[in-house]
Amino acid sequence: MTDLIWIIIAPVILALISLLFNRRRLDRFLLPAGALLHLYFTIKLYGRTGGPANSWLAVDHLSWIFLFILSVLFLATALYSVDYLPRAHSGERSKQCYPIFLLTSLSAMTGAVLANHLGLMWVFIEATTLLTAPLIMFQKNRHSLEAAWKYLFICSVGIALAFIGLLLLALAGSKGGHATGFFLPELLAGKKTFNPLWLKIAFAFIVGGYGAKAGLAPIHTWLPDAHSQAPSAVSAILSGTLLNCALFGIFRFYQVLQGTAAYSFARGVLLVTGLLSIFVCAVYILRIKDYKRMLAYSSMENIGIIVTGVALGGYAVLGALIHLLAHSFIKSALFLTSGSILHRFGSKEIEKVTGILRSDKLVGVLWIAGILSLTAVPPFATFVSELMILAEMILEKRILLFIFFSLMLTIVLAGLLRASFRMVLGERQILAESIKVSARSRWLTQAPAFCFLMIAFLLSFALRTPVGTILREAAGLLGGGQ
Amino acid sequence: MILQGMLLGFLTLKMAGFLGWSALLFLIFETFIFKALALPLMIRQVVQSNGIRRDMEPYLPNFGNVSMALLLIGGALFLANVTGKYEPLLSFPMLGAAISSVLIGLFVMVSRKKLIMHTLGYLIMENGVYLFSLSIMARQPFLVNLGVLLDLFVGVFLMGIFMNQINSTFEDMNVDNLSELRDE
Repeated sequence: MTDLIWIIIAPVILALISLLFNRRRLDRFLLPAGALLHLYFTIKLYGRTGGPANSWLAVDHLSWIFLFILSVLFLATALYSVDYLPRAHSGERSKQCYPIFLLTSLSAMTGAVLANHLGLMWVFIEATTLLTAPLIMFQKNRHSLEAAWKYLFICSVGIALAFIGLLLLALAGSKGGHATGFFLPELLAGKKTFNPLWLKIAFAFIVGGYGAKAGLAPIHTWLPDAHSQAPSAVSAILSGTLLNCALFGIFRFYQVLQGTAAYSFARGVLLVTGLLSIFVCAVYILRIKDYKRMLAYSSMENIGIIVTGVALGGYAVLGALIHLLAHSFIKSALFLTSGSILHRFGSKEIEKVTGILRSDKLVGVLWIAGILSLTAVPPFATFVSELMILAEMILEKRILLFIFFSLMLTIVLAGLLRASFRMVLGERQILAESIKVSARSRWLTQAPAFCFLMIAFLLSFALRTPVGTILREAAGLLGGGQ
Repeated sequence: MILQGMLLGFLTLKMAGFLGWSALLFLIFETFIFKALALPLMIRQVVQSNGIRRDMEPYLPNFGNVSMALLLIGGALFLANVTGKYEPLLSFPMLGAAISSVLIGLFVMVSRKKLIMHTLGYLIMENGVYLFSLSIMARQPFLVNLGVLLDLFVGVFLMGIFMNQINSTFEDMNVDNLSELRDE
C-alpha cells in the first residue's frame, strides 16, 4: 500500500524541488531521477494483486501493464528532454515549467492507472488534461496556443460527459435510495443487480467522454493538432501513455459491465467506435502534409484497433493488449525520432524532408524501422497482435468485418509507407551549419528509440515468457480467452 | 439580444439558486463561495483585462438562438418526465433543469464565436452536471466532489490564462482565428 502512495507522491516531490530551486542544471538531473524512481516502484509492484477491497489504490495485472508502459516511456522522455530542453526555442519561463508539469502529469497518470475507485480515477484523468495542456503550448506561438486550447476545451467537455456517465452508474446501482459505492470490488460484486438500461446509457457517456481523450473517432479533432504542436518528447508521452490512461478508464468500466445484460451493447459500442476511428484515419492519412500529424492519426488508428480487439473478445483481447504495448513503444520511438528529424531539417512538412538516410543514417533507419513496425510488418509484435485480432474475426465468422478491417489497415499502410519512403530516400539535403549532433545527444535521443523498437520486436515472443502470463491474466479481466 | 445583458448576472443567480437543496456544509461552501463568487469574479477579470465587448457574435440570428434554447428546454423536460416515471428516485423538475442546462451549455459552445462564451457554455454545462448529481441523490464521496471543484477551478483558471495569451497573440478572441490547424 505504501508503495502505491509513494509512486504517486514521489514525482510531485521532485516537481516541488524543481519549483523551489529553479535551476536548469538541477532539472536535467531531476527528470531522469523521477523516471528511475518511478520505474523502481513499478518493478517492485510487479505481480502484486489483491489488497483490501476498500482501498483507494490497488494494482492488478491489467493496471500493471499500463503502469509499466508509462514508467518506461517516461524514462525515455526524460532522457530526451535532457537533450532537448537547452536547445528548445522557448522562453525561460516555459523551460522552468516544463519539468514541473511533466513530473506532475506523470503522477496524475500513475494515479489514473492505479485508482481502485472510479470517481478517483475520474479526478486523476481530469488532472492529466489540466497538467499536460501547458506542455502542449510549450512553444507559445499561435499554432501551439490553438492546439492547447482545443485540447483543453474538448477534453474538459469530454470529461464532464464522463462524469455524467459515472452518475448514471450510481443511478444504475441504486436500490431504494441506497446508492452503490464506486470502489471497483464493490461494483464488480454488485453488478448483477444493476439496472441494465442505465448501465447502457452510462457506458455510452463514458465512451463518449473518455473516448474524446483517448482519440476515439467522433471527438478526436484535438489529437492531431496537439500531437503536432507539442515538443516531440511530450508527443511521445501523449501518444504512448495519455491515450492509454483514458482507454484504461473505458476498460475499467467495461470490466464492470461484463456479465450484465448491458454487455453485448457495450461490445457493440466499442466495436463501432473502434472501426470508426480506423476509418477516419484511413480517410485522412493519404493527404496529410505534416509527419507528426501523420503519426497522430496513426495513433488514432491503433487505439481503434485495440478497442476493436477488446470488443471482439476471445483471443482478440490478448491481441489487443499486445498491440497496446507494442503501439506505445513504437509510437514513442517514432515521436522521439521525429523530434530528431525536426531538429535536423527544421520542418514538419513531409515534402520538405528528403534523403534522411543520406544525411543521417541512424535516424533514417530508426524512422523506417519504426514505420514498418507500425504497419505490422512481420518481425514486430504488431504483426502478431493484428493477426490474433483478425484470426478471432475469422473464428467468429465475421467475414465482412474482416474485409473492412484489413482493407482499412492496408490503406493506412500505403499512406504511411508512401510518405516515409519519400522522406527517407531521395536527394540529400544540405543541413543548416549550426546543427552538430554530439555523441552524448545521440545517446540521449536515439538509444531509447532503438530500445523501444527492440522491445516491439521481442514482444512477438512475449506469450512464451512470464510477461505472457500477465498478459493472459489481464486479458481474462477484460473477458478474453486465455 | 436577450442573452446579452445576462452574461454575468445570470450565471451568478443561477448558481446561488442551488443552495436550497443542499444541506451539506461543504456543498453550501462550494456553491455559494466558489460558484457564485469566485468563478464569476475570475471571468469578470478576464473580460475586463482583455476588453471584451458584450456582444455574442453568434452564428445564428437571435430569434434562432432563443427558439433553439426553448426547444432544448422543452425536450429536456419531456425527457425528464419520461425517465421520472420510470425511475422513482429522480425528482422531475431538477432533472429537467439539469438536462436542459447541459444541453444549453453544449449549444452555447457550438453556436458562439467568442472564446469567453465557450468558457461560459462550459460552466453552464458543468452546473447542469452538478444539478444532475444532486437530482439523482448519488452519495458522492467527499473526495470526488473536491476533485470536481478543483478541476473546475483550475480548468477555468487555465482557460483564463489561455485567453490572455490568445488575446495578446491574436488581435481578437474569436474561434475564426483558431482554425489554422486542420486537414482538408
